[in-house]
Amino acid sequence: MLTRMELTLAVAEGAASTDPDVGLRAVAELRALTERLEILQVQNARSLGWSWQDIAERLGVSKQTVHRKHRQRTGRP
Amino acid sequence: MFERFTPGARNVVIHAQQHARRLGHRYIGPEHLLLGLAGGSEPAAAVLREYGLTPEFVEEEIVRRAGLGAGAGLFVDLDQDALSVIGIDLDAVRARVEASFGSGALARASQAVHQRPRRSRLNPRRAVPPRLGLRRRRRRARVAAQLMPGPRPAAATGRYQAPGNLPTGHIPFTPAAKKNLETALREALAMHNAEIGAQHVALSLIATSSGMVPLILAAAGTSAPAVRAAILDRYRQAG
Repeated sequence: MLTRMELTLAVAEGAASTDPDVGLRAVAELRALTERLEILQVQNARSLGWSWQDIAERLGVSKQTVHRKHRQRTGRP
Repeated sequence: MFERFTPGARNVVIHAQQHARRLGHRYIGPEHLLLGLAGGSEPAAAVLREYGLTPEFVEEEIVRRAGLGAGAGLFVDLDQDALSVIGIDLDAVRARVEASFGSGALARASQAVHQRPRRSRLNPRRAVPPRLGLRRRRRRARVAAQLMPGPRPAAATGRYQAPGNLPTGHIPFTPAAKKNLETALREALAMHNAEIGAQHVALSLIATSSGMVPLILAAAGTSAPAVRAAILDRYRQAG
């Protein structure tokens, strides 16, 4: 089990890999993983009755942005 | 494109779909094609089995890596190795997420990830005429009957069965699986064959560099060039 510190270091190392092939692939997959987790979390939050405003605050974006991105996938609870 | 497939290659695709449905997956990936191929009766399937890629082994690997049921699709097309380079263990992430969210939430999220854009009935420019779904299903059935005359092949079976409701209706190919079928066409053209056979699908699957298939090959203790050479050799003798 990696500690948080070690994990951060590992991320920095991979993302900062001097081999562009390794580094770029890693970044792309990391982005895909984040997207999946975001969908999962937003759906969960909506099903618990959270408002788009509340979700947007936590994600650090505007409520219009998060609504435009997720309304089709998530819809009304 | 399927009209250029031999009956054997069509069987591979049909079996892949049946396997995906049985495992509760809402997508047909290259790994399902490999499973459908390994269980077939084609010479290419015999070569795969000689190299340890039996249907039982492939199914075991798929279930171990992706899991059963609709939630399996959420992380399945991510590259495990690329993520491990930056210190993220995808298996650990999946286990955590499964433990805290139920399989229901995972299934919904996975469906959202693999969702195709839906046409809005509210937008007049993209309005869906009434009974379009019914007409489309009928046309598909007619085309399928033309492509596969005669009795239907036996359903593909296996050890695992996803719990709960199995996906019904059309199961889409993943982009990677579509690419495999295109590469199969290219393999057939390169060999000057008029039709796409199971061997061309096998060659294109084995040549894949990302996704689950190379991992399954590695787990079976074999390498892509060895299997490719064996398949080419088998068909050269036959032809």
